[in-house]
Amino acid sequence: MLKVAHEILDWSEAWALLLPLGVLAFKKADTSRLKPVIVFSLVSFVLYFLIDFSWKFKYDLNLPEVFHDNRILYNIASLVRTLCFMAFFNQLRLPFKGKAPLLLPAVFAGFALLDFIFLEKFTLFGNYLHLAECIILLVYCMSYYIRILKSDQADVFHTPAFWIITGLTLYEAVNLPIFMNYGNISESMKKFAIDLWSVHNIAFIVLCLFITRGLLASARN
Amino acid sequence: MQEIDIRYSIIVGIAVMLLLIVSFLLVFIINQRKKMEYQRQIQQMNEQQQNQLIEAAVRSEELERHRIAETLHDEVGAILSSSKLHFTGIRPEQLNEKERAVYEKGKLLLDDAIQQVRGISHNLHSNILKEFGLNEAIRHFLDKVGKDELLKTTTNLDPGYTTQNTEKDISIYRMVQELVNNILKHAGSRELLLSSTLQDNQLSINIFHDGRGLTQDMFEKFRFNKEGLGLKNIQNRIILLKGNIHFMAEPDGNKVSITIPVNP
Repeated sequence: MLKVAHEILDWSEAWALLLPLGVLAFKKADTSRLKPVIVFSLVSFVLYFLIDFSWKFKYDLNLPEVFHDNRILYNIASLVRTLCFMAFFNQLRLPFKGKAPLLLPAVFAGFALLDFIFLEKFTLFGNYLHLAECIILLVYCMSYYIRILKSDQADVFHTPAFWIITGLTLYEAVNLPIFMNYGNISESMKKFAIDLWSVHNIAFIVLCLFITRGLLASARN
Repeated sequence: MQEIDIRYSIIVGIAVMLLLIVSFLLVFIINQRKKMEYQRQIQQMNEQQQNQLIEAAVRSEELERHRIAETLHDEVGAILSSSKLHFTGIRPEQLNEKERAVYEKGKLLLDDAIQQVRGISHNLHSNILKEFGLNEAIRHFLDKVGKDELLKTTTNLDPGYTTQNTEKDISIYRMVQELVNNILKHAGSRELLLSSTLQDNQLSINIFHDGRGLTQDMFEKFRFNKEGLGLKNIQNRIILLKGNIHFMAEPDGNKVSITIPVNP
């Protein structure tokens, strides 16, 4: 039973994304302002499926060497997540107005490039990249809450943005301490690293549930 | 030892971050709920203020109707009656044929004017309603409307309805008057059926006629129109009575349905 639960949790990065994708497929949601979230869900589903598949079956199916290490895919997933959610916040005109929000994704992409040229290897888990993702997206999320608190808008609980951003806040907050040093932990404390990743997976399920709720709110509106 | 420290710091880090974020979210949700409650109260106050304004407008309109009715009855009516009295002082047999024809015509017009003034003052006044109740007032009004045989009127009113609040009944009566007058003016109907039912503390009044009628969309449009003063008054009274009004097209005519909550 515990083994089954572990197996479900190990594959959660892939199946959890089927929840929002299922809502998109079966419910008529207004997706005009949610395109970055949809792109995130689709691309992440492919990436995480490859990550979990290569991890589980690299020896059983005798996969080529290139599939033995999934850390590159995790770095790409982090880049995709950050850029997609930055685009999502840009549509909400957060955290700045004017042309500044358009520059921020470019600045982040530049940072990621410099990080992998000078600081970290792209083939290893990118601590700085993941840490930057957490900090940037948490700042974006906080700017959303502050804007709502300052405004007269009261009923945000029926808006897709509230649910998606709350899910993202929980995910990034829980993962901030994990991403800080995960690269080193995965090398020196393998068992603890796997347990820690289960915590990440639970947070990821929560993120997907909140995105699903956001899409359902969009369908109802 | 260092490994234990790392494990400990990461677990504590996750717990602290989770606690911080959950606390922040709780504060945010409580704040938003308070904001919603505040906005709900403001909206409620606005609605209350709007109702008070409507009530004042309806009341002043009713007072004005009474004043006009009394002036017509007591002053204009008295002058006309006095004129008739003076007319009776004339001896027609002493007049020549041309003068007698003028006298007869004048007497006819005077009688007509007295009748008209009486009719208008009764319409404006709500005496019948106050003395005999809503059903009798509606029946009396429709009998008068159907008197000239251009429009056949039928009433089928629920006898179970009794007056509890005269002001409420006056509003219902005025709405019926306005709607029937509109039908007379614009619909070109030959038959009109007014029925009422009292069920589940709801009084439903249905006015069916076989002429041209308004749709709900037209009503919504006209009541904001300068010319749709009567419809605006109807809407104001509906808001005041917390009721509903629906205009429906039926295969053989048109129906206006008014639903008003009444106390058990």
